[in-house]
Amino acid sequence: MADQEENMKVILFEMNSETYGVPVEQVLSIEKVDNITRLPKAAPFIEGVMNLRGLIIPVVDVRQRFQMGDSELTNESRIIVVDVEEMNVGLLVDASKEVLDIETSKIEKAPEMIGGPSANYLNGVAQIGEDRLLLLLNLNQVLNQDDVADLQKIEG
Amino acid sequence: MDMSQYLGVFLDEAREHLQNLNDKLMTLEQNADDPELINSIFRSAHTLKGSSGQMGFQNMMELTHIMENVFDALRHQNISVNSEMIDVLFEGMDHLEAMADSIEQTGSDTCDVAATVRKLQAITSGDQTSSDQAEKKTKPKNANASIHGETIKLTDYEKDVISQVQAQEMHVFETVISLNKDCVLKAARALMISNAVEEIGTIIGTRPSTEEIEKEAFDQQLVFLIATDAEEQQVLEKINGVSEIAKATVTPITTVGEKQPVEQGPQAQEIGSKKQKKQMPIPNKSASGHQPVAVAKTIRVNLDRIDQLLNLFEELIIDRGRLEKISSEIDNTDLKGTVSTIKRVSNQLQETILNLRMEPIEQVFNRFPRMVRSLSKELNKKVNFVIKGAETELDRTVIEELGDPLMHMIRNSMDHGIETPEVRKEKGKDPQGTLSLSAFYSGNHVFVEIEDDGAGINREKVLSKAIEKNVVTEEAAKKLTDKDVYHLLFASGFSTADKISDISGRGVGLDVVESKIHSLSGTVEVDSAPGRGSKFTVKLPLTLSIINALLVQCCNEVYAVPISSIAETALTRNIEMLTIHDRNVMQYHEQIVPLVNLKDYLSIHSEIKDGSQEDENGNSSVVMVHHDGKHVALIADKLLGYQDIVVKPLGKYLKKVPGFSGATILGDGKVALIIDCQVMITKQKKQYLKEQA
Repeated sequence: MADQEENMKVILFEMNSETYGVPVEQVLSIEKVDNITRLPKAAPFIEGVMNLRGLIIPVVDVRQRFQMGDSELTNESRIIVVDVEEMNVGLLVDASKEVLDIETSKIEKAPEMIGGPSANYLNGVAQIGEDRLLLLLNLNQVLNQDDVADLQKIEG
Repeated sequence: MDMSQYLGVFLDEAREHLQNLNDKLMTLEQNADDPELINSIFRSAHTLKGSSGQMGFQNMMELTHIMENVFDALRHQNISVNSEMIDVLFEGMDHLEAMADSIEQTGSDTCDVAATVRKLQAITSGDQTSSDQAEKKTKPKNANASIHGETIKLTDYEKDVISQVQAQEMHVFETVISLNKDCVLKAARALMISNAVEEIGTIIGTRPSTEEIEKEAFDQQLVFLIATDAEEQQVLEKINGVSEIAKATVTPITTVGEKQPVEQGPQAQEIGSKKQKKQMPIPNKSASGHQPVAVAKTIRVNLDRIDQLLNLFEELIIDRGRLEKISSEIDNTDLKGTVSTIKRVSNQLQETILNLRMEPIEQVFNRFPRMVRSLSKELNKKVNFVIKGAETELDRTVIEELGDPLMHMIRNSMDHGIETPEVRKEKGKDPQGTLSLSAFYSGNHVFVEIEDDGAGINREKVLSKAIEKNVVTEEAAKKLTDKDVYHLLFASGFSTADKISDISGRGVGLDVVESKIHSLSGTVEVDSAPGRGSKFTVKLPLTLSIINALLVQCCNEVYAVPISSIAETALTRNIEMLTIHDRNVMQYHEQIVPLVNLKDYLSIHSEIKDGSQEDENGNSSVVMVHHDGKHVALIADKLLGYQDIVVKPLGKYLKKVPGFSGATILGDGKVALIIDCQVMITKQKKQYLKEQA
């Protein structure tokens, strides 16, 4: 066994048939979608707010966030509640089923992609399995609101 | 021993004692002859001295000790109360408070108190006790102050215990024991003696100290101070029962007189033990004229834990809602009975939990008498400060934030409101002004009023100042009501004082007041009668975490409107809608009020407008909301009724989303947003002005 190799536990989720991952340390829980209250006047990618055991948690539609269109809610849809910079935020994703150990050495710098999130939002990519590519999300960047303000300006 | 774990408790206690000292000192100035008062002051100072010594805060202990000397001299009527003395004592208090703060922040009580100490010493040395001061190295000779049969110098603490013991009609003996010269295990011998003595009494003190005895750091002679019910002879017999004793003498100590101001250092141990002794049930304290007052038992709890409790409770409420729903579907009498019991109990539980967060407003009010006192001296004004309703309870978070705004308003009243005695006389008023601070409940709110009988507010002066400072335009100024004009005092960059004074600051004070009160979801109003005084009224919600709200439905979304913002509700079919400049408005109390359709305001998309066009049938409802004297009429599909809701913050991530003051969780577990009417009304106004321009 290669003792030198460092592993990292990642929660995997699906979106647009791509596989994304967030470090397990940043994930508080994975919830089924239930009663999201729409939040008027919020940015379009904010799906709304939900009640998570007495706390009000904003839910971000990750697909919208990356401007990849609206998410459709299915039975598989999940909300991954993450803790980033002391903010608790729910990420609405298409499905989330696996937890995976990946070797940090296998993570490569993210290339610029077409149609997906820009490299800014990624911490890196890793090959998993035969032809599956894992995109590791940089949550701090995904939830960075300054960026959002700029984005809204462009959209006018 | 590691004391850090006790630091919090020590600081809490110390602050309580400091507060007590502050309060009592204020009263003392007026009631100099009240023996119970001075005793209470003395006790607080004494406890503070003990606990600070125990925690190892030497500076604090020394300062308290010197202050205690003054109190003690007062207690024995060796000196009498005067205003300068109180000033110096307050100076000492300020240092002690600074020390407490410094201990909290840095863990050390370093503070330069030399000047105050000299002044304090001057007070005690200016009277009969000066003999003690001068002869502190020798035995006091003053007949009144001497201790008969005493061969050792007693510490304050020992004297205190002695007087308490004697008050219980027990004897105190000073026992001088000389051990045999060839005694080897002196420490063991000393222990045997103390064990023997403790069979019949209690050892109050020893010479040398216990530590030194344990280290055998003494020659042959030991001195024990013993408190006992037994007689002299019995004590002697007990001691002589131990072998290797050369000589033992037992002398009764009959009187305890004055205390000497100097004795520190190695007795830290004894001072430390005092606290425990103080807690010893001493049933009869009548020697000091003190009757113990029954005080409710309290514990200190971290606020986070209470919040956590509240959170858990809210979850319970949500499940209760589900349970109610299930039980209404299943026709089972037992189930229904149980559910209704659960409901009743949980309602009581809710009340109890919310009450846990409530504290008397006294905590804030307490600090003002002193401030008023020093301000009145500074300003050469005579003020009678009256506090009413200090027992009124408010949410703790509100209380914490309330101190500063109240301080600014009181300063303002002192500075600008109440006139100097000369002016008051000329006007035919009592030269002493009255400033009253009162708190009371009304409905779901707590009102705090600051009322003075001073000059009142001069409308013209305020207006001209406001125009000069560009707070209002001359045009607009003409239309303002008196109340509006008075309210200008809270505008930023506004100060009516002819000269800038230290007291009401540089025109920032009242500005801060309004924003602070608003942040607590409260409002502040000023009323004034020229020549007769002015009144500031602060209206605060009872608690920030739970509010009464009207739930309204728009399509299939539910929103909460705080009842504090609601003026009236009506059905759309009963109102007359008008259109002015393409805007829907309605007439309300001779006012033209804009109508806002919540569907538009909340951008509810047409696809979720489930097709119901209730507007046309006139079945929808109008909710008249107000803020700051302005109204807006909201149109909603349906009013669902009033309910107490728990306000939850939307959190940091959504802080940029405007228009909602929070959210709440409804009985079915769904989240409902709370509409912030303040934002809505301000926005309406801006929009209106924009359209006009």
